[in-house]
Amino acid sequence: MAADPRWADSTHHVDLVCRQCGQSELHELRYAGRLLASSTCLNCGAVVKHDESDLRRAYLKDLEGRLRTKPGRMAKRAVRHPAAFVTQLPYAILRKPARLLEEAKPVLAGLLGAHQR
Amino acid sequence: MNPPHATVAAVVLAGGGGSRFGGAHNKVYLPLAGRRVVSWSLMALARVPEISRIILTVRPEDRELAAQILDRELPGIAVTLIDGGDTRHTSEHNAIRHLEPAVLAGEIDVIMIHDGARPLIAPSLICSIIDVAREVGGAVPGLPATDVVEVDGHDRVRDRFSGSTLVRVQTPQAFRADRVVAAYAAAAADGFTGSDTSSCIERFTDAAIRHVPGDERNIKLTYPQDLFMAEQILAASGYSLK
Repeated sequence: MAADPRWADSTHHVDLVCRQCGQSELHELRYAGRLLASSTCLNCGAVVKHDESDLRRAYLKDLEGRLRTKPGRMAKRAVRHPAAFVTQLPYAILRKPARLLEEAKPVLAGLLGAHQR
Repeated sequence: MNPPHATVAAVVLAGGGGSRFGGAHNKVYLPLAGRRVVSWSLMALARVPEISRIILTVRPEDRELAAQILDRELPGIAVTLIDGGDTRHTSEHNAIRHLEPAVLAGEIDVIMIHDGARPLIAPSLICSIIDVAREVGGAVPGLPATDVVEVDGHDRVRDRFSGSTLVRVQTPQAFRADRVVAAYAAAAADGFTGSDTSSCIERFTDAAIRHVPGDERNIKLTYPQDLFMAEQILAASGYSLK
C-alpha cells in the first residue's frame, strides 16, 4: 500500500473555529514529532502555541520513546506487509534525517529564539 | 426480546463536512498524541466486548487515507469503511442501511452513533450508554448547561435556567437497533433530514430517550485550543481513558 502523501507531514491545514476572529477558518497546524507545536489562523493570524520550554522537554521525551519502540514497530510492519516493508525501507532510511530535521524545526526555532534573546 | 447473542454495532462518523478550502484535511485525520484523531475513538469502542461491529463512514476522497490509518494504527481491529454522504443524516443512513440485514436477523440489538471529532470517549461511558439504550430505548450523554441564560428580543436577560433542564449533548448516542432502522426508513420516505440521531428517532418512533451523565473530557475538536487540551488529557490518562 503506497503511503498517502498526507501521512507524514509535520504541517497540516484544517478548518477550526478561531477564538480571536470567531470564524470557522483554515488553520495551519505545525507538529514537532507527535506533539502539536502551534496553530495559526490563516484569516486573522492568531497563534496558539505550546510553551517553548515545555515543548522542548516533551519533544525530547517523546523522541526517546519513539526511538525505543521503533524496532518493535518496524518488526510488526515487516510481519504484516513484508514485500512493502522491504521495498520501502531504503527510501524511508534515506528520508529519515530530513524528516527528523523537519519535525524538529519548531523546537529548534524556539531554541534559536531563546539564544538570541 | 432479542436473542442472547445480540450485540452492539458502533458507527463512527468521519464522512461529513469537508472544507471550503482546497487541500484542507478532515480534522478526524489530524495527528493527536501519536495516532490520528479518529483512531482514539475506534480504539475505545474496540475495548468494549459488547461491540461486535465497528463502521467508519468516510468521504470517498479520504477512503485510502482511512484504510492506511486502520492498517497502521489499529491492526487486528475489524472496521468496515462506508462512504458517507453530504450531511450527517445521510452518512448515518448509509451506515444503518449497511447494518439493516444484521438488525433484521436479530444479530444486532443496539446501534451506537459517534462523532469522529470526539476522540476522548471512555469505555465506561460507552458501557453505560449501551445499558440505558437497552433498558429504555435510547441514551444520549450530556453535561448540564449551567452557563445558559434566556435573552429576549431586546437583549435583556429574562431568566436563568436552573441548569437541571438543559444539557449540552455529546456522542456517542445509542438506540435500540430496530427503532433506528424504522426511524431512518420513515425519514427517507418523508424527506426528513435530522440534525442528529436522536432528533430522527424522536420524530419517527415512540422510543424513550434518556439522558446519561456525559464526560467533561469528551470534547469535540472545534477550536485549536481543543487539540492542545486533548493532547494533555490523553497524556494525563496514560493514553488510555477509563
